[in-house]
Amino acid sequence: MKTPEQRARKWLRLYPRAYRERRGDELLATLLDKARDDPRIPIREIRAVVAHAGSMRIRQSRIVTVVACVAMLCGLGAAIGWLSGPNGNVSTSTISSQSALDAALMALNARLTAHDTYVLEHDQSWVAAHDTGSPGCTKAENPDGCWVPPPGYISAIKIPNAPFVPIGVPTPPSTRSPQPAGTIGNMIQPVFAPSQYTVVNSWLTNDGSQPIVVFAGALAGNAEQGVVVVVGCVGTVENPHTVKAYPTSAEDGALSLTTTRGSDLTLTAKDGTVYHFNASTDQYF
Amino acid sequence: MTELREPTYLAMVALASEPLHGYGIIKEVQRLSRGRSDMKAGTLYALLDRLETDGLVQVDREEVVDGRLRRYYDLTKEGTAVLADESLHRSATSREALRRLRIAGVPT
Repeated sequence: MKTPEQRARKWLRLYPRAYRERRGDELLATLLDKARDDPRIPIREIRAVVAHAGSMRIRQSRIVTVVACVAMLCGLGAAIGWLSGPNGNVSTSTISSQSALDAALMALNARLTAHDTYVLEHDQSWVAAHDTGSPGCTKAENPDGCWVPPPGYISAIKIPNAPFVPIGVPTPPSTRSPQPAGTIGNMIQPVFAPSQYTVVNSWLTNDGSQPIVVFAGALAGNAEQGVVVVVGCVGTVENPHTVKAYPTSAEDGALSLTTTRGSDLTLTAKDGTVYHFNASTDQYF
Repeated sequence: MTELREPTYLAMVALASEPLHGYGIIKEVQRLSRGRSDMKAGTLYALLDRLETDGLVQVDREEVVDGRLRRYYDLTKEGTAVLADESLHRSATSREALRRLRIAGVPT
């Protein structure tokens, strides 16, 4: 059983080191003063710390690694069941985007940092260059119909000069293509991608130098319904409320994402390197 | 200066009479809001960061009590002026609201 101080210190590790050195002791004192009223440290208190720490990291580093995946956030196999059919394609026609997103948020509960909305701007020139369409159906011919995004389309979002920093223990490489059923990268429907995402979770890299911020967005205003999945985002923060993000192809190191079990997450880089995450351990908090 | 949001305003009001440390501000905000506001530590320090950056609050002193650091904050001259402006504005708005409610026959 951890003491309130141990719990508070754990959450304060989310702050950038420089900020911890400046404010850590008084923040701890304030949290412990409040813990005299409620030794459990209420979830709302933790949420505020996580939100503030996240914003400090974003503001300080100006470089943020972004990974968004609602199914991973859920940490529930059920989410995969909702989102994917037996062949790994999106099967979203029967679910409500908002309710699925709500479910994801509720499932995360203690780790939610849903406070800020970011706008991801997509690079339309990249889209045009890669719009090869599907056999017999191009986006230009049928923008709302049978067009299927080309491989790599928005399955990773990369910002120049913001290298992805691996965290966790690498596991043996896996094949990126074809992706197995349940691989989130296959499920992305960027044609219907929402423009707004909400921060719902964040991790730290092992060396504490970068946050892995998780975004989720609900589809809206289209015939397609569902929760959008954005994989392997790497973004540069221009201001605390705008993340410029660009789709990238497999050629520039796209990442795919697979939920394996529970709250685990695996990212696969173009070179086959697999990065394994476990959201349930303290390591990233 | 843009309008102060409620938590910021309450924290500045809390500091108007004397320097307070983090938990002291939280308790005072709770008292000022008649228990309606339960300011979280993360919220408070985000707010103090902004106020310090804007030059509206400053560190008054530091103390160590029971091995814990207590940093006391105080309003700067500019902070006091901003709080005064904001309070006058809010007061005028409140008076106008009450006047209109009376005209509408709502007991106030």
